[in-house]
Amino acid sequence: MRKYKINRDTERKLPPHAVSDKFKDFDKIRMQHSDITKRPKQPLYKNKKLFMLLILIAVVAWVVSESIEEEKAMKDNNNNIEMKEKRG
Amino acid sequence: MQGSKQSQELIIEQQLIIAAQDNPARFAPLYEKYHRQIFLFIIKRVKNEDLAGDITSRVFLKALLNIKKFKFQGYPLSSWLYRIASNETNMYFRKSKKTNEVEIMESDVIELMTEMKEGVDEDRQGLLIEALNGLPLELTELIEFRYFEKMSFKEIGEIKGISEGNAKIRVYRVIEKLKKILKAN
Repeated sequence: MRKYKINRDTERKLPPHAVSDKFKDFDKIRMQHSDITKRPKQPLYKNKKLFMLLILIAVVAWVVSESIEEEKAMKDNNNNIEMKEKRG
Repeated sequence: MQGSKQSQELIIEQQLIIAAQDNPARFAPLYEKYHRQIFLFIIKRVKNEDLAGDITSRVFLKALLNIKKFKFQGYPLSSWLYRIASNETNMYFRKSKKTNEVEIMESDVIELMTEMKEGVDEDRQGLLIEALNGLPLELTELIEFRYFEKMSFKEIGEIKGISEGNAKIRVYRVIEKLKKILKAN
């Protein structure tokens, strides 16, 4: 919530330059900026937990693709048998 | 003459922005130029030096992080920085649930009331402040930028993400609203 108040002084008292300069530090902001934007120090594959997670994802993907292949092969097999039976 | 000086300043500023977009270290001249201006804008609202210094740093860090996305459209960078500063201070007050008390100089109130063709005695001034306090933030901010921060409609438009003409219309709509409230009193 914002509340306005009238200042009846003739001039606004602004903080002197020394006060604002006290908080002026571009190097600090540059450092914070590079901390946020730089790449992580350790590559993902060197992190044990992440490496395990990557392997787990790969294994799950392999198992899923294998089961799909197997299902496909079974379907094809069944179709072939049906075709042969019809011909016979 | 003044116009050409201003446009020359804008050209220099555009070059500084391009340089900063290319290399963040070259944001330093823009930081030097606008640090105090933004610090004063914030301290007027938070009334605490350390907090104002902290929020000012956050504003410039955000600006540095997003400078690549900044598109120069003929406005000084200050408008964009004011937008970030305004959002950051509003966020501080929202999070802390503190009341944001803004002091307005009497001379600025008189200027606003003259524009509204209202009497400027202290009672009317008090009523105007009451009326302002009753309006939502998005409306009072327009009055604040125009009459208390002395910004141009072009700058207000840039801060609010609207056109210059639209900023003018919105400011005058708020003035009309204030006039109605004062008339009712």
